[in-house]
This record gives sequence, C-alpha cells and structure tokens, in this order.
Amino acid sequence: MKHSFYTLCIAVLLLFSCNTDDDLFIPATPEVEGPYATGFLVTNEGPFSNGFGTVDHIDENLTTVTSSIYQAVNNDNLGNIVQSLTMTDDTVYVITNVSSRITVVEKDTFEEIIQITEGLNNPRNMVIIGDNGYVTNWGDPAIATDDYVAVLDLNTNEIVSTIAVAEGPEEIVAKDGVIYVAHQGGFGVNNIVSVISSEQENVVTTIEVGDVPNSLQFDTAGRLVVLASGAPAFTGNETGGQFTIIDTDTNTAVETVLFTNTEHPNFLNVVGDDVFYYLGGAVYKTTVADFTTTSTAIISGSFFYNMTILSDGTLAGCNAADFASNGTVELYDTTTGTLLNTLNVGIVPGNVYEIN
Amino acid sequence: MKHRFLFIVVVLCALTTVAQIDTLQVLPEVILSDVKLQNHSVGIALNKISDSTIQRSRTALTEVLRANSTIYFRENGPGGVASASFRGTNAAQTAVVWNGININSQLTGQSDFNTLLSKNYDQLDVRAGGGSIIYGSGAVGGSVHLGNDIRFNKGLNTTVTAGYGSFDTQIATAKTQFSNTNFYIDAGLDYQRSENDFDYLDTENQFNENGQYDNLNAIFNMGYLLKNKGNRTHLLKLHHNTYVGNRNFSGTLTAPSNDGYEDRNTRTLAVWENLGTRFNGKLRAAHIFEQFRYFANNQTDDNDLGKSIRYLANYEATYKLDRKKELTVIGEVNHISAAGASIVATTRNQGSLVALWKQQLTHKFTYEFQARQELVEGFDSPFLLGAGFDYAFAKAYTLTFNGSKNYRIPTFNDAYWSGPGAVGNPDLKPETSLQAEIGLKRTHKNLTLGLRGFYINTDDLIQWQPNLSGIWSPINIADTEHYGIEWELDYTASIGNHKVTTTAQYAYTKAEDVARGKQLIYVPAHKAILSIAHNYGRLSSYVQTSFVDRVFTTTDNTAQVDGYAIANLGTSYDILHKQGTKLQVMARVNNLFNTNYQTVAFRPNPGRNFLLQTTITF
Repeated sequence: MKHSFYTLCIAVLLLFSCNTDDDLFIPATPEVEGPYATGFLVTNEGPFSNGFGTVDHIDENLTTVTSSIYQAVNNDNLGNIVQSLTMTDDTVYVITNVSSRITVVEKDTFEEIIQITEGLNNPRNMVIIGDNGYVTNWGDPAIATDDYVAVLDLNTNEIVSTIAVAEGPEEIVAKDGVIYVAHQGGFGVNNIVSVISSEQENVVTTIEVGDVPNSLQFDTAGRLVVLASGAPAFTGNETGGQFTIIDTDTNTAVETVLFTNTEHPNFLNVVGDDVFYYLGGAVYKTTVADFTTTSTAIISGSFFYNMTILSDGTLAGCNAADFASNGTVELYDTTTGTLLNTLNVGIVPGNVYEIN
Repeated sequence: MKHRFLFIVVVLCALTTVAQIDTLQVLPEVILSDVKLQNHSVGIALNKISDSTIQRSRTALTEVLRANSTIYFRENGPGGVASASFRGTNAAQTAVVWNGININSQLTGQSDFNTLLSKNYDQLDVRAGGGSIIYGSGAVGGSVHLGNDIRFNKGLNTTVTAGYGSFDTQIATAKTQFSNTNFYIDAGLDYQRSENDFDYLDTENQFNENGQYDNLNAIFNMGYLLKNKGNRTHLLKLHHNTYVGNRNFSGTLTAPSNDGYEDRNTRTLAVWENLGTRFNGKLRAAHIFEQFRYFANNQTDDNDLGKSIRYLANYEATYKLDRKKELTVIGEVNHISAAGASIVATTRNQGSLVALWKQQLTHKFTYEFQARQELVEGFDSPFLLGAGFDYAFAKAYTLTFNGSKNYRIPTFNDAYWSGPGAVGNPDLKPETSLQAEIGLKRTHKNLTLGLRGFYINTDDLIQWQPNLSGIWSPINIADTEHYGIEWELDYTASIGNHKVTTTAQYAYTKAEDVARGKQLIYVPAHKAILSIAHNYGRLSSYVQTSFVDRVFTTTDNTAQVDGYAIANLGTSYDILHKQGTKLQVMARVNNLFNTNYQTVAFRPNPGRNFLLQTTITF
C-alpha cells in the first residue's frame, strides 16, 4: 500500500516538475533580489487531514503580510500539514509532515526547485551542517522502532542515508558537527535527547531529560538548554515540566529545574542571558544562569500555538484561534508586555522565521 | 383467526384515524414498529422514501438520502465516514431511529450514514424538526427512521438482488419472509463491497487510494400473535440487526492514508404489545452494541478499540379517553457502559419520563403537547416541552405548527475521552435548542405541495478546542442560530398507461455562529433536488438531479468547497412479471455529466459511473 503511494508521489512529482523545469531552464537573468529576500516567513500547518498548509511572508517592518507565497508563485500547494522550514543563504526547505515531502524553493523568489518525497516518512524538522540537511522523521506514528534522521544531500536533493533513532524525534539542532535531537515521543511520551555524530552518522549517546522535551537551544556559553513540558494528565502518569542544561563537552545534564506536577511549559526561547517560556496562557521571562519557575508573567491571557523571539526583541506569538479558520501572529514588546500589532496569517500558524 | 387479524387492523386503523389528518401512507395490514412516528409528529413534516426509490441506489443510506432529501451529507468520499447536516445543524444533531429507538453512537453522538444500509427495511422516513422529546438526545435538526414491519397472512416470498458496478462494486441482497395468521418471520442480508478506486477527475494520475470497503447488514424479524380474543390483543415482536463493516479510509488530494476501520454493531429489540380499544401497552427491551477498531496503519494489526453496550427497557402506555383524546406516557431506563483504548471505562445510567397529550378538537384541528424529563447520571438534563398543531383550514390545505425544546447530552467521548493530545470534560452541560416551524401543506388528488419556515436557536454547543496546555478538550462554547425555508412538491400524472411521478424539494438554510456572524461550515445555503420517474408497463425510467450550493470549510468563511449539480439516470425492465414472480433488470448511470465535485474539501467524488442490478422476487 505504501509503495503504491510513493509511486503515486513520484508520478505526481514528475508531473509537476515538468512545469517547473520550464522555468528552470529560462536563461539566467541578471541577479535581482526577489520579493522575499528580506523579512519573515510564517509556516501555516493548514487544516488537519484535508487541505494544505501555506507559507506567508511578512515584510521587514512587520506590517504587511503576503499570503500563500508558494502557491502564488508556483501555482501548486505545499501539501498537508506544513511542519517547519529551514533555510540556507539561497534556498528554503519547507517540510510537509503528512504529505512526507520537502519542497525546495529559491529563497528570494520562492520559485520551486524540486520536491523531495523519496526517503521521508512523517518528516518534522531539519538542521543543516555543511552540504547536508538532517531531517527528523517519525516514521509510522504507531510504530516505536522505525523513527530516523534522514540525511539530505543539499547538492543532489536526495536522501542519501538514514540514522535510526528512538521514538518521536522532533526538534533538531547542531553545533560543531554534532547533532542534538529532542525526542518528544510522537503521539506518546519520550524523555531523551539523542546526540548524533554527523561524520559517523550514528547515535553517540542519549541524555535523559524531562518527559516530552519540546524545545532545545544553545546558550551563549554553547551549552544545550532543553525544556520539557512533562507528560500530560491523559497519559495516566502526569509529570511536570523540566528545564535542563546540558554540557555538550561531557553530554551530561549539569542543571535541572523542575516545575510542579501540573505545570507543562513550552516554547523555550534563549535570548542572550535570558530565557522565555510559555505556560498556561502566559509568557514568563527568567535567566539561564538562575532559572526560576516563579517569575512574574510578562504577557498573560494569550493563546499561543508557538512563539518566537525575533532578533529585535519582539515576541511573535502564533495564535491558531479555533484551528478551523485563519490565524494571527501577535507581536508583543517583551519589555512592556504590550501588544504591538496583530497580523492575519493562514490556518494554524506554526512558526515565524526570520529571513537572514 | 381471520377475524382476530381483522380486529387488529381495525384497532390500528382507528388509531391512525384518531392520529392523522395528514394523508400519510399507512397500509392498514402493516404493523409498524414505531407507531409514534406517524402518531406524534403533529405539526412536523414527515417524508417517506419509497421502496422503489431505495432499490434504485446503492445501499448506503448516504447515497439514498443525498439524492432524495435536502439533508446535506459531509461524506469523506464514497464508503468513508458520512455525517448528516439537517437544517444546518451538526452531525450529532441528527438522530437515526431504528424501530423506534435512537441508535446514534454513544461514543460520538453521531451516526455514520455509510454504515447504515438501506435495503431490507420496510420503512425509511425523514422527519424534519425537533424530536428530542420522543426520540431523545440529538434529535435537533431532524431524524431519519428505519423500520421493520410485521405482516400476517402473507405466505412465503423471497427477493434476491445481485448487482455489479464501476470500481469493482459488488452488491448482493436477499430477503425472505413467511407469515400465516399468527406468525411472522423474516431474514435478510444486504452485502456490498467495492474497490472504490475511482480516478480523481481533472488530475493526471491521482485516484482514490486506500478506499476499499465491504459491509454486511443482516436483519431478522419475528412477530407472534399471542392472544387475539375479544377486545384485547397480545403480540410479541423481535427485531434484530447485525452490521459488519470493514473499510479503509481513503486519502485526500493532499494527504495519503493507510488507515483501516472496522465496525461491529448489533441491535436487538423485543416488544410485547398489549392492544385494546381504549388502552395500549407496549413493553420494550433492547440490547444495543457498537464497536469500532481503528487501524492507524492497516498493514499492521495494531488498533484502537472503542465500544459501548446499552441495555434499554421502555414502557409505553396509551390511554384513549375517547375517539378524539389520547394520553401517552413513556417511561424508559438505559444502562450504558463504554470502554476503549482512548476512553476511560465507565457506565452511565439514565432514565426518562415522557408525557404526550393529543386531541382532535374538531375534524379540522388537532393539537398535541409533549413533555420530557430525563435524569442522566452526572449531567443536568433540561426539562423539554413541545407543542404542535395541524389545522385543515380549507379543503386540501393544512396549516401546521410545531415548537419544541430539544437537547443533546455530552457523549462518552465528550465526557470521558483520554487519548493522545486530547482529554474529555466531565463538567460539560447538554446542548439545548429552542426551535419552531410553521408550514402550509396542500394535498389535492395527485399533487402535494409543502412550504415550511423554521427557526432554531442552539445554546452551549460542544466543541473541541485546545486548552492552554495545548490539549484538545470539549467545552460548551458556541451558540448558533438557524433559519430557513423548505419547499416540496410531489406530482403524479397518468396518461393512458404512462405514469409520471415528479418529486422536487428545495431548502434554504441560514445557519450562523452567533458570536462570529458567519455561516457554519459545511452548510449550503441552497440545496435542491428534482426526480422524475416514468413508468410504462414493464418499463420504468428515472432521472435524479441535485443542486448543492457552495459550503464554507473554515469558520471565518475564507475557504469553500464549490457548489455542484449532478444528475443520475436509470431504467428498469421487468423481464418476467407474473403473479407472485418477478424478474427485473436495472441499469443506472451515476453522475451522468461527469461532474468533478466534493462534499468535503479535498475529497473528490467519482465521475460518471455505472451500476447493473437484477432482482428476482418469488
């Protein structure tokens, strides 16, 4: 059954790439920066189970949204559930989860280069080291043992190898050729970070963190900061959130801060010495060095599906509303906690990315 | 014996005369499984789907009702999950009633109309409007009724149908029944399977992958005249239904699927009827079982199971004060247990008391009052009141009115779900609705015309939303307002040996979320159907057309599925037509103009397709 689906995907791929090939072979025109060379990109998951996700563009001033830019440029859609995107200097890789597809586009124009489907199975997030992309894949969500990190050759746009990992790999980051994967656990619960050598293409070690590690970033000292939300009540074994700092030289947890059993924090953002996280409709700010779960909320009464602190310090919160209509990106001043602007984006906005 | 049988007929006739001003077809020799339907729908429109109409379509109720009623079906492709939207209400606000018992799933509160097979039932009725007082939770927008009759003195007869259609669709139906003066028995099978791998129109290589289904519906009914002496008759009845369905859920234009799904449902109902000239008592006991297995990957045996078992006992007493006044009291108890992979194993007891007062004031004016109080463990169920009248104010014209309060209690999923990313909410309140409708009906000779206006106001609609921790959970959040117009025409003309029957229906539905002021998703503002059938001797032909307006697919009305018009065409010929024996061949073309249409976004429907059937009756 799966095979016939892949055959279909390839068939569709061939079909669509015929159209784009025409564009690709137009004689090179003088280098002009396309409309999307600067500003921000928003991934919108799109409606669950039917329909497709989109990518919106927001201008540098965070005022004007251009909707569904991939569709507008390519007269095609990105597929079902746009999970994340990753960019290099000139290329954007948009990962579509249910459609198991990576759509490769020119960064400044969003013109499609190719669609990759072979070798992907429920892809989630990608990190780039040199000429390779590393993509977390759930595999079949019902099977705990088929999860992997796919290695994408960015020159050939082919998956060249896979690295088997534990259940539910989600966020992925890298430093000095070493890859760190947070195992959120897919539809279940997991509590580890996998450390992968990009050279050896194998798992060097796993580090235990809190249940359901949802975000991981490096601090200014190069240590890995992990936020786990804890196991939710419906698992029958509820655990609280956990903040963990990992020394990447020894791959051990050097600091752990526990939340109470019913607190499930999310959306870690490390900005300089500060840490922002989201819990129960409020945004909290504390510090890496002296992480506390008892700081005062800087923003409350919000309803975020994700949040990102942009480089100018603005907080971009994705509000998916009722998940069945267009969402918004809410921009907040993190110093004063005031709402600066609300931008209308697509259905179920999942993240905001700064074009750099 | 004959006399005794006649007696029942007289009793039933008397009942229906008392009850009816509407000219509904009630065959006097037929003992209906749910007399309430005809008897307690004062001011409400009932629309009977004829047997010949049912025989024309493939068996899924979705297909029959989509072409023959103004109900909108949100169907995930042929064979997939299909839910009904009646007057703009949601899937859990349409009740399916089997032999008088509401059989909506205890888990989801809905009925999947692709798991209900239409053949082998004797009655298929569509009742528009509120019916919670007599049919319980969920009969808000309307209800669909399936009934098996008992008929004595009919001897032995059997009908067998075999059919083959596009996408390797195979159909087999058989029903045999036997009755003498005091005993009735029937058994029937209704089976269909399909590869269902139709091409998606206007795409190059895409087709309906993973859409295979097969399902079997078996029925068994018995009636026994226990005692039929003087002015008292005792009758025992048994109705049974088993449904076994296996299907894969097809993908969409943008998302593949390898899901699988199994349904196993059984329903058994035993009735003791004690009928007299002034007093009728009916004792019912029922066992209703539903079970599904969901396979996230149909190549593996891993699955999630959910099931519920329901025991029901019900006593219905009708006392006729005189020929024109009757009081009915119904007491019912239910014991329901549910369990599953994602549901906390739990039980729920509920009891209800219903009182119905009906009076024919003059030969032109009949009114009815209805009341219901239900007690449900863990929930405060509202007190329901309803009233209706039929007023035949002029020759051939009837003015009808009905107003009622209706409700839907939170389902087991709503209250006790506990699965990945979602959790139920035991603190929910029932949804309630206040509704009214007024209608005008003209019945004259071979022409029936109906025009109705309705208004529904629902409060505390249950919707699933992520809470602040990102866990999906149901809350009483939305209020909606619905109003609209329904118009219908039935016309039969005979010229010589030619007979032409025309049915036309149109519904205008405005259904808005009160807070947003936007049309609810998957509610078309306009739906119309038109069927014309022609019969000449052994040859019959028909054309069915339906027009459905666009529907919005997002709550802010920014995305839509386009409207469509489709036509089906069919013909049948009786090769053999003798006393008691009939051999008929039928051919049908669905979607004659090869229209590319969707009822749910990104789920295409088949283009032009064919069905051949042969039926033998002996």
